[in-house]
Amino acid sequence: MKKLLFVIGPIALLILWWILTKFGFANSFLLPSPEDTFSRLFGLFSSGEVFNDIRLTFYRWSIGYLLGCVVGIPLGILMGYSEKVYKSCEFLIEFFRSLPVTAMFPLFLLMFGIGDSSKIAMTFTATVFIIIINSAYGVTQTKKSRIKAAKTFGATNFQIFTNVVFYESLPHTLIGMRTTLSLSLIVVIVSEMFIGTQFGLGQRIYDAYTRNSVDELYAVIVLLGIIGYFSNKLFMYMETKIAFWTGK
Amino acid sequence: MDRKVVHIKVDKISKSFKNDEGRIEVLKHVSLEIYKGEFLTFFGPNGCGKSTLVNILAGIEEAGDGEITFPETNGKPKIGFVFQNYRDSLMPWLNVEKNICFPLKLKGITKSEQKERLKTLISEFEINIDLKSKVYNLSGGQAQMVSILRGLIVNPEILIMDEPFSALDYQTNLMLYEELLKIWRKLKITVILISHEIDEAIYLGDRVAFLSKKPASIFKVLNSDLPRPRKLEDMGSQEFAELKKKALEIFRNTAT
Repeated sequence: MKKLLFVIGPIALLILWWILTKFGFANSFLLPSPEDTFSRLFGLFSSGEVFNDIRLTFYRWSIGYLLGCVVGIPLGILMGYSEKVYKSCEFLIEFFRSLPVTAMFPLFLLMFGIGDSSKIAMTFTATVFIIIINSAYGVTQTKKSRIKAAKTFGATNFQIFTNVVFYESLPHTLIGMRTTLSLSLIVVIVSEMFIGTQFGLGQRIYDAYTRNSVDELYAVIVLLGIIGYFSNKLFMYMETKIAFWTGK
Repeated sequence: MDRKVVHIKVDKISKSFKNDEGRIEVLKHVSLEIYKGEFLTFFGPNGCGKSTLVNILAGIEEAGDGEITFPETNGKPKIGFVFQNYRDSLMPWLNVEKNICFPLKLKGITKSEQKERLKTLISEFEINIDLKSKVYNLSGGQAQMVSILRGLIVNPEILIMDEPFSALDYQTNLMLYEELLKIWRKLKITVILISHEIDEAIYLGDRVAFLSKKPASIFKVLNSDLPRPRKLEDMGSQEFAELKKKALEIFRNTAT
């Protein structure tokens, strides 16, 4: 029974939404009914028109995100491994991490043009600094006693790195990857809305807005919510499988 | 047992560390001869530098002054090490088997040989721990046993144990004393154990080396000549009480 408690919130929200629209508490132009929204969402899938948007948004999202991880994780681990490197780079990383990447979108336009590369670059930028920070932090949290144990058994520095430090930092690295997974989705959507494209979920939201098609606007927002939710859940599940010892 | 063969010669070891207030002397002229095959316990107040001393013995830390030699062996003998905090020294991402074989893996020994050695070790001591289980699911006693086996897998000539029982409850300790003495009898290796429990130090050791307060040096060595093999009941015997009385006297002098 407790396992089903999580559906109570969503159901309550749907009922509230339905009451608000059904009895005219909300302006139907600002808030379409749940039936209209979900039937539009269904229509987007049955007509197949949304598939290209999903495909291209996923493409930009995954390339930008994965590049961010591939570049960020080794850099972060290296940074965390040497206290000197960590201290000297800390300000820069924190500075760029705190800078809203969306504020820089004109710069990305100038540098990468209006095609996919600017959107991927924005996603990459939003990802990479947070990944670096989390991986570096994970390395600094390595238990001295485990490194000492490995040293006692005659481990070389490289062996300490691959057999101890890498595993110790993994849980933190994964937390960084999960945080940026949602964040990078936001950035992809915003970049599609700002920079413009032919296909993409961000573009579809913007188009729906300009066409005054509010039920489609809501339908795509719901769809994004579902994508965000399940990607996060999936990642959390993977986390418990990969870094199974965390918190034990 | 021939007690006269010197296995480790500790000659005027000194060590100091730098901290905010300048240099702190931790060890000062520690000298001791450790015999082959003996069970030696170090006893001393907390923070007196016992761990630093065994780190130097194990070769993890350099001595500031003085030297350690092994007159019997050519070069440095193989040393096994058991840490105080098993939770923080075992690798939680490895299962029991891989934790025990970890030192072998670092030496580049093949997987099949690792398994072979583990099998020999396990069968020798009737170990009752599931090799595939995760180390964080083990009880404290089992986890420390895994730690001990990890120290033994390299076939060491010397086993160094840094307060291996201090994080465990009394009941578990009594059980592990038995196991440890069994292992020691069978392997006939030199065991050096640090302790801050006087009963433990007397019960396990052939000799108890008392360390003074910081900067530590060997204050006195007490022969714990209770007959072997020892049983837990011996801790209630008259001889044991006598030894403990002597130890307390020595310790009272150390503390002042």
